[in-house]
Amino acid sequence: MDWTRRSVLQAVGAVALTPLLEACGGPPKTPVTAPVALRGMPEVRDQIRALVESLSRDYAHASALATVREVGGAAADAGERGSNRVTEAGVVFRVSDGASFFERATSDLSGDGIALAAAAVRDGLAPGGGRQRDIGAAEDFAATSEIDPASLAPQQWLERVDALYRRAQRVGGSRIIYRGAYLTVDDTQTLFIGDGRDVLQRVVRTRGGVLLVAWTGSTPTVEDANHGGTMGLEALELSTETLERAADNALSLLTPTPAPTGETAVILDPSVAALIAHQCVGRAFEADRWMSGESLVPRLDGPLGSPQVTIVDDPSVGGGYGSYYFDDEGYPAEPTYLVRNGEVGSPVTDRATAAALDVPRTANARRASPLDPMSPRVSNVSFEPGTASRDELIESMGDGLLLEGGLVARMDLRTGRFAVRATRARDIEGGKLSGRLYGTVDLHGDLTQLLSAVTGVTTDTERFASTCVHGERDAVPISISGPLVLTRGEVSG
Amino acid sequence: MSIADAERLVKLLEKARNVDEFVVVDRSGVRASATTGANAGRRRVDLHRLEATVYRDVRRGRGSASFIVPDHDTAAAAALIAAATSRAENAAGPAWTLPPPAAPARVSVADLTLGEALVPDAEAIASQLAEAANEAALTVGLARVDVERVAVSVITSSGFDNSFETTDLHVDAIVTNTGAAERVRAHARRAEDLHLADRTAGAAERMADRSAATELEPGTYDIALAGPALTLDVTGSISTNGSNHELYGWFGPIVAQSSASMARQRLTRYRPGQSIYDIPATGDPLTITSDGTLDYGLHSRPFGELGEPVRRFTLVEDGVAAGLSLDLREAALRGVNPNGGVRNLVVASGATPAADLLTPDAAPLLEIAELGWLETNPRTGGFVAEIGLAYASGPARTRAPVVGGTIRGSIFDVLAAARLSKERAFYGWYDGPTVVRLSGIAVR
Repeated sequence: MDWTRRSVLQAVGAVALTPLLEACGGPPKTPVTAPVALRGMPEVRDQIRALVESLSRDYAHASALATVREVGGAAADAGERGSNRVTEAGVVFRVSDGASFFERATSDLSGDGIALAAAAVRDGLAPGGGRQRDIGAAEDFAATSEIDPASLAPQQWLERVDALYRRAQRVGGSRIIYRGAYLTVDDTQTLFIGDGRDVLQRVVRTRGGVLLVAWTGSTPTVEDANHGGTMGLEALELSTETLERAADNALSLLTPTPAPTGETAVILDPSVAALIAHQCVGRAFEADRWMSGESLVPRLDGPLGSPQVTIVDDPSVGGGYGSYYFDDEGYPAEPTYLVRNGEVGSPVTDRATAAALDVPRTANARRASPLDPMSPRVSNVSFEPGTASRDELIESMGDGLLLEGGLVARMDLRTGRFAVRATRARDIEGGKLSGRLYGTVDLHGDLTQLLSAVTGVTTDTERFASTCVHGERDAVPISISGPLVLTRGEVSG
Repeated sequence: MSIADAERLVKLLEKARNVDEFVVVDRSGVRASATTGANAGRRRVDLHRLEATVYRDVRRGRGSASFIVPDHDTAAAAALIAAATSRAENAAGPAWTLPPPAAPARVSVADLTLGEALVPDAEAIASQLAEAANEAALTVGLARVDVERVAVSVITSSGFDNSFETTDLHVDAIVTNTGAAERVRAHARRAEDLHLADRTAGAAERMADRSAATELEPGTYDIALAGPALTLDVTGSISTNGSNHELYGWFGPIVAQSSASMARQRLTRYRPGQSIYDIPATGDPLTITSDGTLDYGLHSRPFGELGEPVRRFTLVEDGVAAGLSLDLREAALRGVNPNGGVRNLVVASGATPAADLLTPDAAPLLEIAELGWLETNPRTGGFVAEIGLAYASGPARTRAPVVGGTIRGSIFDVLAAARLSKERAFYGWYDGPTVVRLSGIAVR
């Protein structure tokens, strides 16, 4: 998971809780449709609609995307506590004459600012291909939550974070050298007008968690117990069992033994399988990587994995941290099969890449903000469940390792050579957990070989909140999920 | 939005009740892009962000909170100040105060040859790339050129009031030839530092070598890092706080371990005065200095995010941890001057000519031309990297291109035995030996 605590706490602003680790997620909630108003700017929608209608008469394509985003959070540890909330806004007008596009974006959402940006579009590209087009009736979408962050002041968020911190103080004993609790909230309203649509959505992404640190000789072991998704402050409701398990995990590696090195049977826990699904498979299915020739996938002349491997990207998943109702080109959210029963499926696309590659358009046009460029990026990537239970998988394995606590995965998209790092490995002998525990372990090799060796997948999956990062201006929230997966690979302890 | 808005905000903050200190940061500028290929187009973004942090001193210490004044609603500033003050009162941390203002560092970080609109500049650079590719018998498949110019002003309640202008240029392209493709990336403060001709020529060379390359045999090698493999040709955005370890490639864990906040909470592997290694040092003495005052350095700035002056300081001296990254707060807590955080890295030279470090001895040598990826753990120093393209040579000194292979270990352990070249080079944020040779690395 490539999203770090540092970025959260810098976003939060004033709080200086020590940045340590990545965040995860929790169970989905089902979003419902309800009317919303673009916060604080009811007149903006009509103005943008009129401007897009005008531009449409002169250009082959014209659209506008506006967002108002309230980003904040709270954090508490032994020495510090604080909360914050800031509002960011932006609008981008995009026109195309059929051959090339021009965009003009601004953070000024005043009436004058919007009008200036729309007028400047005409200065940037000569008209071409325009005609009268109808924009449909306005539609609104919003995900509900049990405790809407907007209903409480950030100081009240902090009270809840304080309460979680106090609960964290009760687990793990004195060998836990650091404890911190945190909350992040991203409450974003997005308006898209163009291509016959006038749609507005509100998506609230929240995550809450606890960081626990134990010292293992010269290095810290960090556990991050957390919960997140398109949800409200209920993200802070971590169970005592979850906190105790995190403390146990932090303390379990105080005297780690290196794992054996070599090829072996491995069971990937959901966090490891989910990392591979995103960092190795999901990224290789981004259509711009296909266009650039970077991704090995279009060059494959056979399956990517065994028939037990199915990987889906689905922005319409209820409660997913990467969920939305429509993408940043207004395209309605729907699932895309990247890999189905081992066979290569479709890449995730936006309008331009779908046309260039002559592949289906998918709901994956995404921008970090209206001020940032658009790219085809994944949303909620899922390694789909199979039919086995956890016990069946361990029993059928014989001897091998169970890799737990995925930390990070990377892959050379051109070659498919990858590595994924897990916090610990549990030894399995004769189809049973032997009780031996090893420290940090890397699984590495060729992605196609790893996925082709998959022989078992569990019915149960877990979902984690994450961020797909290609750079500071190309980072979007996503979720990743996976089951336990039985396969073979090269490990290094 | 204008400087006047920032000044109005300062006046409001000065009059506000319960605001003990404050920092106002105003950033405004233009970002332009030109993309070529199947999705050709241009874009221009007018950037502006007026942000403030308020500090409130209460019995249990100092609390702080930040807010952004929306462009469309500057009248909201008073209400935002009141809300932030309330949040700050509910926050708590160690007591400290803003230091007296200090002079900004003298450093140039803007390309004054760029025009006002920037879109024509981005298009011109895209054309230069196409010409350079043509010279190298390559075609530009996809390319995006980003050019940004931002003016930053910082005003603090302690009397600091300064501004500077910075420019930032990125090129990210795919060049092709008869079905083969290579990536060309460049990141610089000035157009003249993009060196597109050299980079496309390098891409052509890699393309030819990759087509002739064989799979690397697993084994133990000495590894020579040079050029892009040493500095990773970082193309991410310039760090605004000088603390993002991922921007420093192999040196990222050393940067991360210099966090004063982490050190204060005893969460770093080592502290100033202690060796950074877990094993005896057998390589060249490693001395690393942070210098944010190198003209046109990618991490150079006259002052930091909250007006703290950027100063040179030593991170590591002969393998021993020396200084820490000190922002306003961490410096105040220690009663010392802030240094503006880790900026560009200056690594001291070794004694060996680069040519000798690129010559195999007892162990076979891998000269890395390109890394597929590098992942470092900022807390532990653990790393794992995939070799994208390398040149293998043995005792017979035949040099052949190879691809593939994974290396892993501890950054601190490999640096303990590293040898550094006498010759130096400057790559955007790195000023140091042209070649770093690592000994006895297992490649799988």
